[in-house]
Order: sequence, then structure tokens, then C-alpha cells
Amino acid sequence: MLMHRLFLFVLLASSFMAGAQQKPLDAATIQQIKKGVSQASAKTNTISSEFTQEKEMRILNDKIISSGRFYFKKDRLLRWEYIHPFSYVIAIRGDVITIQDEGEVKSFNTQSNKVFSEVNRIIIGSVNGTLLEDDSFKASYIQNRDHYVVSLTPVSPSLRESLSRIMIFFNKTNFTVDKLEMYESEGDFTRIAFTTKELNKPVSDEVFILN
Amino acid sequence: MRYLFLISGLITILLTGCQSVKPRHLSPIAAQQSNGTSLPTANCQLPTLFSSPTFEKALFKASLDIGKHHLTGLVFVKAIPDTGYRVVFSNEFGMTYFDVETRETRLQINYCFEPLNKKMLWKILETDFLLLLDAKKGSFDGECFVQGTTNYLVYKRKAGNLKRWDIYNPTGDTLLEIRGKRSVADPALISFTNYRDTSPFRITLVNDIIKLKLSLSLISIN
Repeated sequence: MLMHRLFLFVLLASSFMAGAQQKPLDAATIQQIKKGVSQASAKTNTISSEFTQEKEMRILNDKIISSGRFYFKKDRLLRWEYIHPFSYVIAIRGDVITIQDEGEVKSFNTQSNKVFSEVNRIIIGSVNGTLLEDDSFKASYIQNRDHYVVSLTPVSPSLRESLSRIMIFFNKTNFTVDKLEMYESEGDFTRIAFTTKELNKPVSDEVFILN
Repeated sequence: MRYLFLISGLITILLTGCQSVKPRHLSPIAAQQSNGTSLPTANCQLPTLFSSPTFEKALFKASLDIGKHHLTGLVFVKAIPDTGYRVVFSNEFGMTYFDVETRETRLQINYCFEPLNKKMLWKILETDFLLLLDAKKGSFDGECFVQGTTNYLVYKRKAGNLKRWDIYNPTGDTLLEIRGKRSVADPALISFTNYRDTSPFRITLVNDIIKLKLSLSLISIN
């Protein structure tokens, strides 16, 4: 009997907490988040961090997990260095993507790969906060204990066909992105979590040049 | 003038389709060699990479060049009991380019992003994936050959209108190449190289007629 009551209490408490987490934020808090993200972005010239990426394939009941190092430098320089389970580097300088794979380097324009181009825009927009003001997405705001969570739904039906929702988890302390979740229309999603972030640590331009 | 282009295009397809797939210098061999020993693959049913009974799933780094598109990312292949295989190709950040599954002698498209969603292209890719993944079901009437110049063992099989030639090394234990087609418009050549243990770490699929090249580098296999 005691166990039943305890179970009921835990169930009710967790339902209450889940409800509290999903409650939409008021306009003042949303403004505070936008301001915080904008200020953090203005102050951030470089980011170096570890990342873990999980692609969850719902129907296959399987995951692809990879990890590595991430570098960002204003305005549009990105480097994704996958270390595990494979070695692979992607450097993005504006519209040019360069890939280093098993000693071979290939460059191409983001325009030759629309999905890549879109994901690149989303990631840079998340880091520098411009995605929150992007008319291509309808934004809603919630919070949990550690994060302000911005849920972005693509307005364009064509984009919505491949990407149903993006969730950006901003750290409540410094307004930087801790986690990014991209949900696909088929129910699969990819979660990219950034850890051991270092802000404004000098990062050479050469980090973004592969040869 | 327009007909001239059409005719020359058709001739190119016919010539390429007829010439490039069937291996040359093939001599039929019997299930028993003249000295009485059995050939390593006398029943013409050697499993290819994916149809091995122990295969569950594999992850590859991948690049696909087709027309103006250059797509890179990961290909995940998983065996689905009793039906076939599911193949998911996504970019490095996890967004799916296509998600397909083989069902006996056809390919079901679960999702395909718009620029690749072309019926004609998928007719050809269907042949390519059925060749690569080997159909788990379907009756194959095999014929065995030895290739004169190389001593490679060649297995000709047919499932419906899909003709394929699986080319093995002379001892019949390493798959080197699969060639096949269903029509003159879709001849494909798949090469398996960089073997470590029993797995090819590099698979290259080429379909010359539509200038398609899919390169796969094995990351893990279970």
C-alpha cells in the first residue's frame, strides 16, 4: 500500500514538473532571452568545444553516435572534427565546404548540397543567435531547470518536409548553445551536445583551412 | 536535329548497356572439377557481404556524386528479418537524404529529399541497391564460370529481369565485383576492395550512364 502511494506521488510529482517545464514563457522572459543571446553572441568571437552527436532512427530502433571537436570563429567559420568512431573533418568558410577524409581533401559550394547548406545556416544561426529572428521559422519558448529552450518550426512547407522542428537549448547562465536537436518529418532526430566549451580562446584562421 | 540527339543517346545507352556489364572470356565450369574435388562455390550461392547469415548492420562513410549534386555523410544498413534491408543515407549532421528498404525484388522509398526525388533516378538506384544488397529471397538460377585471363570465378544469376555477375577471386572466398542490370539503361558496376579480415572496407558503385558514383568506406559492421 505504501509502495502504491509512493508510486502515485512520484507519478504526480513528475507530471507536475513536466508540465511546469513545458509552460510557454511570457513576453518579458522571451525578450530577456533574446537580449541575453544577442549580448552573448556579440561578446563571443570564438568557441572551441567537444561535441557528441546522436542520430536516433526511430523505426530502426537504432542510433548513430559520433563525437569530436567543434570550432567556431566569427563570422562564418566552422570546423567539425569527427574523432570517433571515424576520423573526418569538415571546415566551412562562408559558402565553401571543405572535407578532409583519409588524407583526401575535397571542396564544394554549399549550393551543390541544399541540405548541408540549410543545416549550416541553422548551426551558425544558433551560435550567433540570428535564428531567433529568422522569419523562416516560427519560434516558441519554454524552459527547464538549466536551459531556455527555443523550439523553431519551419514556415516553408518544403523545408518542413525534411525538418519538422529544431530545439535549441541555451544555457541559462551564459546564453550559449549547450544542445541542438533537429527533428525530421519521419520522427528521426539528431541531437548535438556541446561540452567543455571555451569561449574567446584564440583560434587561428588556419584551423579552418584544410589541405 | 532533335531526333539525331535522341537516336545518338539511345545508341550510347545501347552500346554502354550491352558492353560494360557482362564479364568477358568466360568458360562454363561444372560443379565438380575434373579431379573430383568440389569447387569452393559449387552451388553458386556464395553469400555476398550483406546476405551473410550473421550480418546485422553496418555503418559507412559515404559520398554520392550525381549530376551537380555532391552529397557526403553516413550510410547505415540494417538487416530487417524476413524482408530485406533498410538503408539510411544522412549528411554528417544527421539530416536524412534518403531512407529506403529492399523488399524482395523491389525497393521501397520511405523518404527522399526533394532534389533526389526523381522517378527515373530511383528506377536505376533500385537496380543498384538490389545488386549491392543481394536479395534475400527470390530464386536464383546460377551458372558458374571461370574467367580466362584472370582465373576469377564468376557466378551469373538472375532474379526476374535482374541479371548479375558476381566475380570472386580464384579461390572463391573474396568478392571482388558485382556487375548487373535490369535494362539497357541501368548497368551498374560495384567493386569491393581494401579487405580486412573478411570485410571490404571500400565499396564503389558506378553507374556510367547517369554519371553516378557512390563511394562507401566501412566504419563498423556487426
